[in-house]
Amino acid sequence: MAPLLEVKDLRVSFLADAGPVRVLNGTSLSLGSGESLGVVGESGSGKTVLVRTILGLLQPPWQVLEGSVIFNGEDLLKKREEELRHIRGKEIAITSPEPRKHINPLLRVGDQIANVLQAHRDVPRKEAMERAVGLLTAVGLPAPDQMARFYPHELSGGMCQRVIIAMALAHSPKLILADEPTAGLDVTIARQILDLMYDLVRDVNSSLILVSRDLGVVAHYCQRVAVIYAGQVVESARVADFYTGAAHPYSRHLLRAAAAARDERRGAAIRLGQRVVFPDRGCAFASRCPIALPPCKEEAPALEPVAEDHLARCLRRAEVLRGETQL
Amino acid sequence: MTTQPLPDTRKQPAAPTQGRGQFGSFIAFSRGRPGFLFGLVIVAITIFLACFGAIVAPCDPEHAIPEAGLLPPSPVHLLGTDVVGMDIFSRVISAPRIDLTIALVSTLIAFVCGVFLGVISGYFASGRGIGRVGSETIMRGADIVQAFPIFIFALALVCFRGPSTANVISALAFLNIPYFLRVTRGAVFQVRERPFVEAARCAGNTERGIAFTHVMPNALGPALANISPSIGFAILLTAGLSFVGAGVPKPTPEWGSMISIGAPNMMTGQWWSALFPGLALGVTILGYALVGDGILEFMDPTRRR
Repeated sequence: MAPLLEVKDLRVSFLADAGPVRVLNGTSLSLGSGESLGVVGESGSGKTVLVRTILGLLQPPWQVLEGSVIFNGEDLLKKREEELRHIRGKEIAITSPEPRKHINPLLRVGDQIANVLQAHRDVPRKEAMERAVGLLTAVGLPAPDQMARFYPHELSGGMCQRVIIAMALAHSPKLILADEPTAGLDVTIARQILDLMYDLVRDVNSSLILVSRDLGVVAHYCQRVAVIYAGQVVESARVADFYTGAAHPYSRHLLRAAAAARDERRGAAIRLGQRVVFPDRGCAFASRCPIALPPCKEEAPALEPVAEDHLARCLRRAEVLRGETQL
Repeated sequence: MTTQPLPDTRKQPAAPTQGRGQFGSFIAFSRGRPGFLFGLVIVAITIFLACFGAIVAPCDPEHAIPEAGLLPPSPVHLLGTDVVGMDIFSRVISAPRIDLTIALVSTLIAFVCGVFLGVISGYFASGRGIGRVGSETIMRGADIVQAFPIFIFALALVCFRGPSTANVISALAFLNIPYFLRVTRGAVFQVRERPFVEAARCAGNTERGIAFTHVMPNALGPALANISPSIGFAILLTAGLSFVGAGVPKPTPEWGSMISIGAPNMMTGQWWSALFPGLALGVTILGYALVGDGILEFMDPTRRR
């Protein structure tokens, strides 16, 4: 069966005054129907840009140089705005890291959800409002019929995120792009939001791309994980395989850093030092990689299989996987 | 390790505006704002006078008694009489009919047209195709209108179609459109960059729907704030047009023309014939400014308490 979403060799640049900055550098990933994929990577690695490119939201100075985003057998990058409009919100929905800023401050939340419903379905206002209250109930807001008449500023951050999720689920989309849904929320609320999203997504059998910096979150809520470094997917694996044996040195560092943060053994965290550079040739991670060999600086590795359903972009992936390298 | 129970989210949130109708929250809003209430009183009085001023006036506001010219304020003529012997009190309270009609109607037309054009020109300014062409056309049109000296342009418009109230209204409305257009366009530029606009796009709304349901309400502030100065400006321009004979025909009671009639007498000590219409004009403009500020605050739910 063909995957629901297939991103192939996506290259995206930001046209700055000083010249184009490469942000996505041949990103590829695929996602099956009903599957959940965690996308992890450090700040600036291109996670958010990837999500925005999938929805066709990039406008100048952003520029998609090449690649394709195949959704349901059609290339979204080749579609016109009007065609994309029928996909956005209905087939693919998005949640945001800053829920409060993504709600119109002057519209009552019930009206906003009803607007989303009416954007794709020809339903009378009254029915849309009833459905909006139903969605607010589904996302676990107390007293939803009253809540529908609240303005966004009367809600807490967690409540706003629930409203955003209600909007995202309004049309039971095939794919939900959750860009750091728990940024800025405290841990208990974050946990509730993620549980809620996990349950609701499973109820409507959507696929989920969960962008996060938190490896723990990804381990808990996703089936697969993709690690992004410098605009490239450097490793892609099932969650269980990834956490027991990552095959890319960068992934190993991420995992070690996460474990170190939990154990409060500061010494165990490895400082990678240098900033991210985008070399013209060779592996993007080579300048920071502790096990880089001379060929790493010459030849860019491809994303190749290292085990069953496990891809890594490293020349020494087999050694790393077996744990034979000194990291 | 024990699991901490998660906090109960099912408790009722504190809710200031829930269940209260628009009118109810308006009453609650006005309470504790003396300036706004004062403005509302002035607006109410002027509207009352606009409807019934000529009826409650003690004398006929257009009846001249030449032998009773320039009488000082007295129990018979509360505010005195002007140079041709018309009762100033009667004229001052009859004037809102014409002044308010002109100011309010022309400002309302200019507001509606200006905001509409401003949203279109601002929202589609960086697009391509028909939207961009429309946006540029609107802005060049506004440039042309604003390139002329306002008073001369108003004069030309009214003279072209002949002096009458309707023509003064349409001339003032036309001249005011660019101001509303420009402030709205500027606000739209800021609002359309805000994340909820992109969120609305992600939800699959049409561009037109986004422009008018999401961007416009958030970009109304400057245009609303522009209403009260615009009303004052309209009254003053009406007075100017009346002064040169292109506005409201002379005997009709109108504050601006009364000031121009009374101005020469200020020199010779008959201060009342220009002062009272001027005072009425000033207080009215103040009242509308106060109400305008209050409405601006009320429109923003985050500042409404």
